[in-house]
Amino acid sequence: MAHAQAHSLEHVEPTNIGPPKLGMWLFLSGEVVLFGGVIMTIVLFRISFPGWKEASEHTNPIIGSVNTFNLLTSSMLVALAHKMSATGNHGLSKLCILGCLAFGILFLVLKWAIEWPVEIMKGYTIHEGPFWQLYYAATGLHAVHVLIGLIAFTVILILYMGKWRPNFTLEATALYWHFVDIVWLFLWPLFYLS
Amino acid sequence: MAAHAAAVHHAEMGWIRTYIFSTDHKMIAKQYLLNGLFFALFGGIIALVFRSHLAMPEQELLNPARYNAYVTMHGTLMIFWVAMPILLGFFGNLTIPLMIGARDMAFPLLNMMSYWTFFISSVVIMASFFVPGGPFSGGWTAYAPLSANTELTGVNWGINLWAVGLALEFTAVLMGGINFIVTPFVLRARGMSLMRLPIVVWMVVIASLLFMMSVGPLIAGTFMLLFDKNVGTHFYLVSADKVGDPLLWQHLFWFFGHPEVYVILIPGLGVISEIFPAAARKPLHGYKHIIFWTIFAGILSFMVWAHHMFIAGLNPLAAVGFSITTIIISVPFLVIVVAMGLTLWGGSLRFNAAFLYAFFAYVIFIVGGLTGLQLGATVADIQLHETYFVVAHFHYVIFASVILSTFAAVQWWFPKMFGRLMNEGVAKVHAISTFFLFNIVFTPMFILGFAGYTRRYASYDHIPLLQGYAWLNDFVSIAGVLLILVQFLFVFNFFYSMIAGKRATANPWEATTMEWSAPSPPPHLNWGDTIPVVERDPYEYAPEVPSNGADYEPQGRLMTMR
Repeated sequence: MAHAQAHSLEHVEPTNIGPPKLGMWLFLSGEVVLFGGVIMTIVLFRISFPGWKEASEHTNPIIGSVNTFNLLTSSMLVALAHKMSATGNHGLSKLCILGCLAFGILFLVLKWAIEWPVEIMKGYTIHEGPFWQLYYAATGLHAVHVLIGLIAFTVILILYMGKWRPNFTLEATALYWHFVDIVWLFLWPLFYLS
Repeated sequence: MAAHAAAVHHAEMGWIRTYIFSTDHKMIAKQYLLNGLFFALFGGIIALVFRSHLAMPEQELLNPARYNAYVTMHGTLMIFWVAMPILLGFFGNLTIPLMIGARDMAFPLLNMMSYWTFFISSVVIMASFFVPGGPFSGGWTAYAPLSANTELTGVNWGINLWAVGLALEFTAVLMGGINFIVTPFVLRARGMSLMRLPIVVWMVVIASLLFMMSVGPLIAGTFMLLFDKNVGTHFYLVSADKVGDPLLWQHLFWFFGHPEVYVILIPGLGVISEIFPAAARKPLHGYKHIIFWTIFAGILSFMVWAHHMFIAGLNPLAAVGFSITTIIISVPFLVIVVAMGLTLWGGSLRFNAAFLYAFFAYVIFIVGGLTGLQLGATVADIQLHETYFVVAHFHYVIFASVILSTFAAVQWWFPKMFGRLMNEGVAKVHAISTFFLFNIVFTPMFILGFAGYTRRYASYDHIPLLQGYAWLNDFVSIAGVLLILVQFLFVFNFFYSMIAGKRATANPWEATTMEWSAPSPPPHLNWGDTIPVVERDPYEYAPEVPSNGADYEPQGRLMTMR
């Protein structure tokens, strides 16, 4: 397999974007449309049904904002990790990935272990109307994306500890991580600040 | 040198890596084709069963619920498990690397995973026939609340499996789609500029882009449907104290659904455009026009989805807007059809079987396109919506683009798959009988639709108004059964030719594009010790000064590696 790839590359016309990167951007564009559908649904439900503002007042904007900080910081750290590994500063790069993992895990802990249980205990379950069902569905879908990113970073970090050195894998995962971050920047105002 | 070593290595890879978990694009294309053809036969037999029921409802071959389930599964399987694997999985995998002069896809491993995800989705959708309650019966469009409420249809696991199978199938096509788009952009042979790509490659690229840009909302929508059904949320369902929006599903479905129509249409048009120049021995007329107008149609296809919802309670003003975009979208296809016709004009036609299939697809597609205009106009659609007129219209489009162009493609590229030629005589009999029977089945349906025959009724015996047309509907049923039975000619021809067909030379059709420079069948990694180099446009038939004494100039040649 690796063979086939190497040989098909030998007569590539010079392009400024490599196949894996183009593939990753295509994958992300599909993801954009996926979340585009979700966000369109949020907007539609907000316009169509009363009670959105009242319901959104029962979310916890502090946790929401801290989580925004978490994701933005881990995004910055992963950008630094990519930069460091490109300049050969592998020790610092590993540290940055570790920091990115820590902030990502903090995000999920706040979301799944604190925020959701508290809301469910207060009675705001997925059955409590248009706001709450979309809240759980959209932030849940986003949190699953965060989880997938964290798994990818964990695998990268474990490999990195050994002899393996990051190639495009780190950059691709970083692209994905920034995308997850940007999605949150849309969900945050739609649910917490409205 | 290294490629040669790799080819030898491949021969030692063993049976499983060569035939089952293969990363070779030609093997994956064959896997997709066989899987798709299996479902085409299966979906056809389902149609045979429910049309038999319709011809003699008093025999109670099916109960009404089961009838709905069979109609639903016929549509679902034909769109998602026949059209998608064949038009993208098979056309894309077989033609792209060979035509652009690459040794394989950009991501061979992803390609293999794509097929096996598709295979798992096939198992899931087949399993829905064997669960209690039977397969999903809410129509292939799965409109809520019919699909989101178990009590309305009595189907529980059928809909869960339908939704999960669909999500898996979308994942498979997305994985394949990344390959189909990336490969032509990065792995072209030296000299193969974008404006020298054969038209079918362009069509698969555009179709894959349309699919990737439209399927996301439906994946989200499918999960919301599963939530409504199994968790008790109210995204689509409305109850006394809970609000939801049933129209939301229709919006999400058709925002995907209309680009999807072009996903399964334009690769078919691409195949027709490959075969017409070779049959007419003339260059393809308006190569650039076909590409740019197809891109225009693709962009416009994102702005027409609500024409499926004219009578769903849409604001009449919005309906007018969507009506206008719908009618505009016929312009690109008019250009494409005219370009194809002008390709044939004045040519000395070679009536081989592949050309017959392609020509019949062309004729049938024109009828399908013209009847679409009537449905696109709001006023006419109020009468014709949900009638057999719609059924006839989309069968005219899809039968041409999916079924007939698949036959054409299989006939045409059979040498590149199996190294043999399909039997011309049997194929011609099959093509002509399919063409005539198809028209005999679906032309009366236009009349029935005007008369008021609504889709998805298990029996029309209790509607006095329609009794005058009962004989015509029975006639359709009988012809439909014959149409399906005739397809076994193709099945026979396919397997017989695979084993005992005439051995094919490298270029049996005297065609120009790059795949005909490779041996039939091409070896693993396609080009052996040589490197393909492209020197010309794709369709240089009848050159003024022939360089080799033939009436065509191959697009490229193979250079020996030093």
